[in-house]
Order: sequence, then C-alpha cells, then structure tokens
Amino acid sequence: MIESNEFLPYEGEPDKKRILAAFRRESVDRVPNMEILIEDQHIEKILRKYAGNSLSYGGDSAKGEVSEEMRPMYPDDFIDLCNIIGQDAMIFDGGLWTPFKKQDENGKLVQVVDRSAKSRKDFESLFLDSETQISNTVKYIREYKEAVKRRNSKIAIAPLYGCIFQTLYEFVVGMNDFMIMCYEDRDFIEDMLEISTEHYIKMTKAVVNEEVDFIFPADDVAFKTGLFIPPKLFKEIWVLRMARIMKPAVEAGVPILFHSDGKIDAIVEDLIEMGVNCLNPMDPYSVDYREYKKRYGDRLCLSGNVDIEFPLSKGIPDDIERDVKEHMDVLKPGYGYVATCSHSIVNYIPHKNFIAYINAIHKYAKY
Amino acid sequence: MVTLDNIYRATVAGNYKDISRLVKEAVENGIKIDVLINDALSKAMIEVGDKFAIGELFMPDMLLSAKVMKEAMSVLKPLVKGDEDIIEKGTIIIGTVKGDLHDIGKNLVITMAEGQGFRVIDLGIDVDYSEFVEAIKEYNPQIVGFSGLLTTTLANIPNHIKAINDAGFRDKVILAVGGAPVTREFADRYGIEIYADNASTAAKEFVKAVKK
Repeated sequence: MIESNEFLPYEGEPDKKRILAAFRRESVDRVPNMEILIEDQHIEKILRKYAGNSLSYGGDSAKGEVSEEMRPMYPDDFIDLCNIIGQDAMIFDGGLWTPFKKQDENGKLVQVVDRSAKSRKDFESLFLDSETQISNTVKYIREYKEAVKRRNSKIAIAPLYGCIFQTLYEFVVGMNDFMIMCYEDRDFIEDMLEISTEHYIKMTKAVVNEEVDFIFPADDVAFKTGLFIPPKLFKEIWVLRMARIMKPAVEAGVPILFHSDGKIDAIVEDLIEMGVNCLNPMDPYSVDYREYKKRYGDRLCLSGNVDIEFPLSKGIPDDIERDVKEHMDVLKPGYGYVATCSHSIVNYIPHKNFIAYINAIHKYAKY
Repeated sequence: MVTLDNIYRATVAGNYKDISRLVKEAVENGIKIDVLINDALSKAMIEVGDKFAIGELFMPDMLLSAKVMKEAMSVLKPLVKGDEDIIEKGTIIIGTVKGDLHDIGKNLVITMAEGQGFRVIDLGIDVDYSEFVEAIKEYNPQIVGFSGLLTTTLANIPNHIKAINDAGFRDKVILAVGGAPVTREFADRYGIEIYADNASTAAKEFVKAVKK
C-alpha cells in the first residue's frame, strides 16, 4: 500500500518523447501520466500558491467561462507542476468553445452562454470572434515554448480545442432545441457546425504552424447509452467535419489525442480512420476499457477510465492503488497507454487521494 | 376512425403535427380521456423512455415524443376543467442539488415525468436548500427529486433532506434521487423513497409512488 502525504520521486523526467511514443504505441520506459485538467485547489497545495487550474488562470474555461481576464496557466507554474507529478505534457485551453459572441447591455462583446439562439435570425445576429481566439492561442503557444526553452524542459505543449457540437447544445442553442433541430432543421444545424468547423480548421493550421507537439480536439457527443443522435446522422454531420479539422495535423504528422465523454462505440472506427492516435477518457460509466484494449489496442493509444467518483473521490489509497494496478495490468501491455483519470482532477477529490493516485501510477508504470 | 393505437404510434413516432387532430377525433369518437392518456400517450412515452435507456432511440426521439405529449395535453386539459385529477397525476419538484451544474439527466427525467402526466416544477441547477423548501411551500408537490452527477451531490443531499425536515415537510413529500454516482444503497441510507438510474425508471417509480 502506498502511504504518503507527498508525491514520491519517480523515474524518467517529463519528456515529450515519452507521451508521443505512447500515442504511436511505441516502446517507452514508463507509462506516461497526463490529466486534461487539474483544478486550482490541488495546484495551490502542490505549488504553495494560487496558480489557477491547469487549463486556465482567472476563471474556469471548462465550465464555459470566457473573459478577457482569463488566460492559460502560466507556463513556469505548469512546468513546476509537471516536474512534481511527472506529467509529460502541458495542455491548455486553446479554444474549447467556438467563439460565438454577442453584445451585452454595455455594448461589450461577450461569449454566448445563454442558449438564446433558437432560430437562424438569432444565430445570424451573433459574431464569430475567430481571429481573436486563434491569435490568443498562437500567443500562448509561443509563451509556453519560450518557457520550455528557457527552463531546458522537454515537456510537450498541446492546445485543447474544438467543441463544435457541444458549444451549440451547451451554450448557443440549448440541449432540447438543438437536439430537435438535428431532426427538424438539419440544414440550420449543419450551417452552424460548418461555421465552427471552418474556424477550427484555421485553428489547427495555426497551431501546427507553431509546431505544437500534439493537438487535443475535444467534443462531448455522447451520453452513457450512446451518441446523442443516431449514428448515421451523426456521421454525416459531425464525423466528416471533425476529420477536416484534424486533417492539417494529420498531413503534418502531428499526433492527435481526442476526447469525448459517454459511449462513443459507434464512432471509434471513424476516429481511427480520421487519424486519431489516442482516445480519452473512456468514460467508466459507458466504456469497457478491457474491451477497448482488445478491439482497438493495436490501432489506438488509450487514455483515461480511472473513475473520479470511486476510487479517486470516495476511495482510500488502497482502493486507488488497486484500481490503478488493474488498469495497468490491462492497458499497459503492448504499449499505447497514457494513465489518466476518467474526467479531471476536480477539487472534491481529496488531495491525499490525488497524491496516492500519482504515486500508484509511478509505482506500476515502469516497463 | 382514430384508435388508441393510432395515438400510441404517433407518440412513439414524435408526430406532434398530427396529434392535436388525432386526440380531438379520438375524444369525439368516445374514447375516454383517462384511457387516452394512460393507455396510449403515457404508455407510448414509457416505450420511448425504455428504448432510449438501451440506446435504441436517441435524444431527439425522446424530445419529439415529449412534444407530442405536450400538444396532446394542451388539447385535453381544457376538456377536463374542474376535474384535473383525471389527467394530472401530481406535482413533482426537481432540481440539480447545491454545488452541481449538470442538467442533462434531470431534463430527461422531467421529459419522462411530464410524459406520465405529472406537472413538473424545474428548479434548475445548483439549487440551494432553501429553494427546495420554498418550492414545496408554493407548489405542494407529492414528490421532490434530487439530481446530481458529482460526489459533492452526495454530500449535500443529506443537508437538503435536513432542510426539508426542519421546515416540517419531510412527511408530506416523497423523495427521489438519481444521477450517475448515486446508488440504491445511498438512497436507502438517507431514507429516500425513490431511486432510479435512468429517466424511464424514474417516471415509472413516480407513478407507482403516487398510486400508493
């Protein structure tokens, strides 16, 4: 049993080569560990100062907060964090939500989060702030690269972006109306998706041009029972678009990690075909990770599945170690595994459990 | 002549455009309103909910069937004025508990519950203890439902129950709970009468609960 109040030393400094090799299912010294998001209270305990959460500083972009005051975590803090927990990559919010904006009562352009676009007329009154989002992402990539160079670090840099579907149902149109429109006004849905797609194609080209180490498109497209809409329809309106978003990275040989919650069995083959190297997070309420290893392990790197509810929140260190080991036993052989939790290291996970989780990963990660 | 089967199929198919005409004709042809609701509309919603739960139908299907139900009820309600018990099974208050922002599951439960003839008051997300209490005072529900997806949900639910108890309402309402990390064992531990792991089951449990 691992008992410690601190992160134990681990072998092999954080190195992009490790995680990129894992994406390609090549040999590595140890299973890389990586989290999409570590929330601010954990980071404050680790770094002994407020440093935001690992995706953003000054707000919670994962919950749809977008403001001028927000930015990614400062790279020096992120490098320090990665060095302590042995993480090979810095993932930052490079444009999670399509930047559809409208003027507030003071005439200021603000991100649309009120689900108010119920018609073409409503939608056409919105403004797509594409250039701002892309130029900000480029700016932060350069800032991260400068810090990596200055610190002689080998940590990878990757932007998380691309929620073309979720932006619309979560923030712009609203779930119920959006889902009905998928059947009843498909043209409108496709027009909205197309605008998002064109924006994110530009984003991919821009980040590839900045030589990021990998890209991390994300879009929650499924529930625990399956896709939100029938697979045939979804493939027609989303798969082809997401493939176009990824294409500049595929052509440049830049690896792709893709995220969606829920049961995405219906589109895994499509994701492989469009060039995805690694699949995240293998939602434990929807995905059988053993089955995924059998079916896709020779074609996909797999990441995720250690449940943030149990063992990470409600378990004890023994439970966590056992669960991490079970995942390692199944997912580690043959390479192509990145140890990640089922969603994010949220604040309500006890910090000692986060420590136990990281220590357990390093205990069992070595090949 | 319009039959119960026509209405059932229209509901399953999400045919909200024709349902008003079909329902009017059915009533004119002598089909009793409570039979229309229980044996066609609500039954169809259960089929839709069950198929959604196993991945055979999808969110738009469920929502369109719910739209059928709403259209049908808008025709039927004026016809039973003064005798609403025929079509309204009761009132449910539902909200995502304090500290939780998730609402997909809650909204599916609302859809299914309305499909069974319940009037549902949606308190939204991140609902404070006092809001549930105030809503109970205002709407006098039979059932109060807690929804949540986070472990913090589980920690707050006993506090919600305490607030309802302290306000003197605990024995006046049936409590229900659901959400991915919630278990039957959790519900039993806190004396919550209804637990469901999907929207269709929740709706069926609501119906059973008010019949008792």
